[in-house]
Amino acid sequence: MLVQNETGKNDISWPGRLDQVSTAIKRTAKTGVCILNGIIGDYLHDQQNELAYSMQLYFQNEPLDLTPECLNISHPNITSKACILVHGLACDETIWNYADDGETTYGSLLQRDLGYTPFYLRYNTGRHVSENGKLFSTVLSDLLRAYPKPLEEIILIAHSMGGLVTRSACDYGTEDQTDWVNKVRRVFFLGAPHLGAPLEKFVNVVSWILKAVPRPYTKLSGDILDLRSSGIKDLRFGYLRDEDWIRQDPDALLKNNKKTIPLLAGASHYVITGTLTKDPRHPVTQWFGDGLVRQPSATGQSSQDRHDIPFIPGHHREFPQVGHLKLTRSPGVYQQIKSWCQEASSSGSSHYQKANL
Amino acid sequence: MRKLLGLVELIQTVVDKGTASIEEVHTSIANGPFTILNKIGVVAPVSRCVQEVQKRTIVSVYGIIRAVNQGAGAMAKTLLQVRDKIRD
Repeated sequence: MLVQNETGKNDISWPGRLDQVSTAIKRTAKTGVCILNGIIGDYLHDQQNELAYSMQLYFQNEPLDLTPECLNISHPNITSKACILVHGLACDETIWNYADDGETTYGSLLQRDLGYTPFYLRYNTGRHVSENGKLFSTVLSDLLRAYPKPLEEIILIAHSMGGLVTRSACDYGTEDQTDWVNKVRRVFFLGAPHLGAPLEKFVNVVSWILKAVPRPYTKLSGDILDLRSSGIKDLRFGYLRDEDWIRQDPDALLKNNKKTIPLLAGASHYVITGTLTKDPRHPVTQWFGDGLVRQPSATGQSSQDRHDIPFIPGHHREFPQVGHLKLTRSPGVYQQIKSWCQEASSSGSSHYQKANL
Repeated sequence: MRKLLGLVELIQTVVDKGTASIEEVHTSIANGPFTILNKIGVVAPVSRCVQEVQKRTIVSVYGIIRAVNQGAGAMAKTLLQVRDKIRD
């Protein structure tokens, strides 16, 4: 509430200030819950703690019931093209909001420019990627069933861990012969650690060393580090399926049990990466990539061929000086996504076929 | 309200498990000098006596912390439930 003070300048009244403080507290609490879900979300889920997020689609920060009636109310101008945005570790759907206003997102821009109906996924990022992948596949099946119009096309935009959850969902969806996988035309990966995240590898080494030192306080420090969630541990090598982690020691030193899975057939896959520096060859970028994910991991180029992911070189774009989180709300990134979306859909599948040959 | 209850439960668990871990480290560090002293015949009887007193003190102090934690948690949960009923 703005009022004029004696000097004629706008001032904020007490009720207004209280509102601001209350909003700030709510926002901080929400961020805190997101972070808790990222760090110990698996524990919260196992304990059935109320702080644990369940997987749900959101629109304008409200959860959606996947029924035709609810979708007609939330999206009065629903189109036959849907766009699903999947956030990363310790985040929620608000990560897609441009900083200067709370409403502009890649989803809202794609709705305005190309007629895609946006949906935002929220999930417990502390749970295993494969568990979230299976749930995501179910959510997309439910969406398809409830969609009030014939759904012709789905595009998936996934940031960071969301990229792994998306690939996992596509693989489980294909395995279960779900209908939604046939609707997916394009998948965009923004800084997704397909081959693992260096920070998680570093923490794995540190905790192993701490526990190896025969001192109670170092062991305690190692045990505290090992409390991090299953979701975080899956980021070590980019685990996507249950078989990657079941009956394996999650804290074994840099032991990679990852099984190779194919990209979704019939869909075009695009990779967007960021760098911390202007020059992509700068040592800082070579070491730290976008701050959390290095380029070889985001582009699926492994030193071991069996883990390589056949992304097409023309389907990769790098954005200098765009950090990991900035990838979710950068005008340049949006222009690139829009431009790829405008490409003829038939070229996408043929590119994929070529990549697999 | 339900989220606050979840937070109370989480804090209680963290304090409880944290206390148990620190107690374990505390006891293990404190046992170091006593292990050596207990092997020296002249001071061994006194050392064992002091060790016993120290062990009991540690158990009591951490026990009190756990009890206060349980009490505070139960009180917070009751207050939240009362607040909820008043609002209804």
